[in-house]
Amino acid sequence: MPKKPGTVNPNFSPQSSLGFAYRVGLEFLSGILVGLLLGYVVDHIFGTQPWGLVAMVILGAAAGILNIFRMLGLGGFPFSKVDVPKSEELGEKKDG
Amino acid sequence: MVDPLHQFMIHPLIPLKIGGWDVSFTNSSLFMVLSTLLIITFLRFSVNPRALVPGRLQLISESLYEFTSSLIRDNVGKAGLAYFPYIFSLFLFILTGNLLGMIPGSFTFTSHIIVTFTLGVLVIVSVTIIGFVRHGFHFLRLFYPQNTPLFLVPLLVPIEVISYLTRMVSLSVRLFANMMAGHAMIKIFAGVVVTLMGTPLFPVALVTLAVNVSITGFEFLVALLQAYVFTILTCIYLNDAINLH
Repeated sequence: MPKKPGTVNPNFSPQSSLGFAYRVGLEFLSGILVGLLLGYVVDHIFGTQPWGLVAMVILGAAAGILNIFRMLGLGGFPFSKVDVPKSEELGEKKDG
Repeated sequence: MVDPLHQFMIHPLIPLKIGGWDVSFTNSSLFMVLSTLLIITFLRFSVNPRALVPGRLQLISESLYEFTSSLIRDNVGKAGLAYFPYIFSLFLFILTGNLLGMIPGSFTFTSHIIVTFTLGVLVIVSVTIIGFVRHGFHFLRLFYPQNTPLFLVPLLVPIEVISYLTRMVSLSVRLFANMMAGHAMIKIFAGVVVTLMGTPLFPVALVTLAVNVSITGFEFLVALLQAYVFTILTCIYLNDAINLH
């Protein structure tokens, strides 16, 4: 996702790091919750009793991880060449 | 009396049943109506002088207006100002609800997940409709990550769709959890104070009382902050729909 001019960093909010940690947990949890809900709906419509739920919960967990990656600003569009930050920008040193 | 969750109880004030549905006018509805009326009367009468140099009340409503419009301009751009009334009402409704809840003995309607979830669903549904109206089926590109190999599309598109749908859950749970946790925490600490005050352990009660005072101040911060967070996230989602990447 190329950054548009004039947009502020959506991850910015004047909260403590504890609040940030809660938000990371919440993003993951909401992915699983939506997967659970969709799984129930799919099973209800198509009568594929456990399998829709299983697949949707796994996809929901994947979506939750994706949300966390986006929130941390680590890209999230795995095949785009534009938005992956270099490790120096993240403040890490890779010389070890 | 020392029941921290009692404050979240909903009781019908005017029992009402339409076609088997319980649509009673509850204390929650009462505070929603109150906050709406409060917003309307405040905005109506604070700008009444129409002074070029605003007085105190006029300044409050003008800066609320300016705050929201600059939020939209920064996050969405000029095109987003068309949706200013919606975002402004959303912001004021949540803000007033949160602040009304800080009055002792009142009811915080934003501490109920069904209220915040309705607001969240409303945001996502309207943003999706806006996206489809502005871009047509091109809007579906939002769910297609750029340069995806074709064999991964059946896997990645459902993940993107679920990720899009999680927005309403995280949006609503964030507001609800913050409000409910804060109010329950105030009541729990107050319960400790009441229980220990008459006993030899009363110094503990005094410390707890001091903590409770600071928590109450913190709760005002949370009430303002969560209204702001809800609004800015709405702006960001609107930005995704209006300015497709």
